[in-house]
Amino acid sequence: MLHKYWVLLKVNWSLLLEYRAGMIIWVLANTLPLVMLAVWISIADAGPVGNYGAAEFTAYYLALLLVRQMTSVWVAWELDYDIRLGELSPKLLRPIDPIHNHLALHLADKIFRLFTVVPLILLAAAVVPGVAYPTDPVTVALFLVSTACALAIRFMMQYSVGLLSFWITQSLAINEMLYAGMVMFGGVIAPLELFPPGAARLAAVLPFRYMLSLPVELLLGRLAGPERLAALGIQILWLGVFIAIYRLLWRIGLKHYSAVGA
Amino acid sequence: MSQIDVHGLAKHYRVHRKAAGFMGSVRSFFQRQYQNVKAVDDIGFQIEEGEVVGFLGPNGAGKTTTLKVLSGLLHPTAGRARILGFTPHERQSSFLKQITLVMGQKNQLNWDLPAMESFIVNQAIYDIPVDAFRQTLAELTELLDLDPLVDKQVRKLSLGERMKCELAAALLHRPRVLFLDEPTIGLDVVMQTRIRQFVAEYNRRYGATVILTSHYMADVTALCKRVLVIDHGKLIYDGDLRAMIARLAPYKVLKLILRSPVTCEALSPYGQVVDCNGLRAVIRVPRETATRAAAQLLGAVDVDDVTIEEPPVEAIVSELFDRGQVDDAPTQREGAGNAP
Repeated sequence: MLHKYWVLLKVNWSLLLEYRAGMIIWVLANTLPLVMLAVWISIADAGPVGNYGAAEFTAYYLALLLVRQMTSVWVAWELDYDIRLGELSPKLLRPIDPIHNHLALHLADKIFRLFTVVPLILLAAAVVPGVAYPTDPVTVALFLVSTACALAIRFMMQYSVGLLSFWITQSLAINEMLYAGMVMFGGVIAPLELFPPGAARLAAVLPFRYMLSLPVELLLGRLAGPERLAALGIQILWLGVFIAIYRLLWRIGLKHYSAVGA
Repeated sequence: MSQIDVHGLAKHYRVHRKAAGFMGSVRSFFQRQYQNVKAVDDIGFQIEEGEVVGFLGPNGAGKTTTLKVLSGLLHPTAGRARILGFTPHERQSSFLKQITLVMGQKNQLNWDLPAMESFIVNQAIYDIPVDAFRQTLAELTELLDLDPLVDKQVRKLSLGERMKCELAAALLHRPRVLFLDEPTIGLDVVMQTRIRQFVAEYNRRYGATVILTSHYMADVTALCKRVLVIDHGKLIYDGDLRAMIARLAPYKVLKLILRSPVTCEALSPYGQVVDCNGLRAVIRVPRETATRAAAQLLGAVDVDDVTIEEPPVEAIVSELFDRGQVDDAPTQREGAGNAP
């Protein structure tokens, strides 16, 4: 299986390089965190908001931008296309589950971003005065693990939404709705800490925090020791939930697909 | 047991019907109307290893649906299919590694990369050992003349070139059973012939079983000794292609070119005159007496050239579909297959 992943990764890498111009546009189009940063800096001009002054906002949103780049997922669009246009059929005839090729493409994309946009963000973090991140190995390790989990959750959630195309033609609308949920409760609009207590409690149980905000909170050292593990635990729980949903939808969806025609 | 064993196979679809126009949409939003379509309706047949079988039928007869059930893409509504001892729709990977489905109108190659990249991916996901991969690729390259094609982006290839690469990609794992759905669709005559020769050669070399559908009768007559004829989801003939032709068209066609003009009436004793314009004539004569009639004609009229031909298969088959059955032909297997 490792060998298969290696080959799939290589072929998807050549595919990304084939589309390099488009790739760069996609990477750069991911600017909502920067827009929100500008908004919050201008608000913080009048005095800090909670614990956040201009420097804190900058550190927060640069980290958020980084996590977003490393967790971007578009597999719902691919599945929607494959299922509605019958392109899934040839893929089902191969002795490998189609999810592996989708995953390999997303991983190749992350390698691409690691070498293109991540250095830019790190450079920005280094030159902006007042922005500093903790460098102790535990924090960095927690950040990396949590970012990987965030990517996995987003991937499994979108994969599940994409599989809804077996039954409905508007699965992408559902995907947009979930994206809006992530903007709202994932820490894009504002750091979750600044939410009123009721909304913050809601955000802590919804999956969106664990798809984006949590790695940033961990990197910025905003969580106390025991809180960090508890939050990671919830993150892993959500990952398990979406994997279970995916498995169920794949099993019954495939039966449905092959019952109504491929 | 036969390599392919199908019993009472049926595939029904529930199709959603909607009247045209705005009110039709509104009505269908509140109350959906469904219709049951019997795409495949109780068909059965056995195919032995190494046979090449043609699947004939008009558009919408159920050919592609049957191939999809046999390759495991569709669950049958009723009946069962066993292929190489597997139940297709379970899609076990040891089953998928032994079959292939080539659809003339669908691609498995990656459009934006050279075909070679897709070949290498197939090597990995089909677990093809390096040596076997090299050898098969070399053979396919020779048979299909792939050398100049594999390093070009697939989207820059012509339709025929692409089909050759598709075939190669579909055969790298040396499947024992090939389902070919319209493999020559849209190709020019030269390329059709190449693909046909290739399929015949592949069958001969590896003893693979081939089930083929095509709109081009020539594909079927060139490759298949045995045909399955399907219409409205039902199997209406299963047997030897030549026997079917002989039964449906118990005549041969004499084509004459004459040195001096002859009237149609003068030719009518020999058979049914289909066409005659003085210096050319086409006559249908009963099979048994075709040679005798030709000999008599050579003596009776001033003949420059005479040929005895089989009637065109297209005409026979379309006649068959119009009638919906083959007279007194059982739908069971008859005539031996062309197993080696």
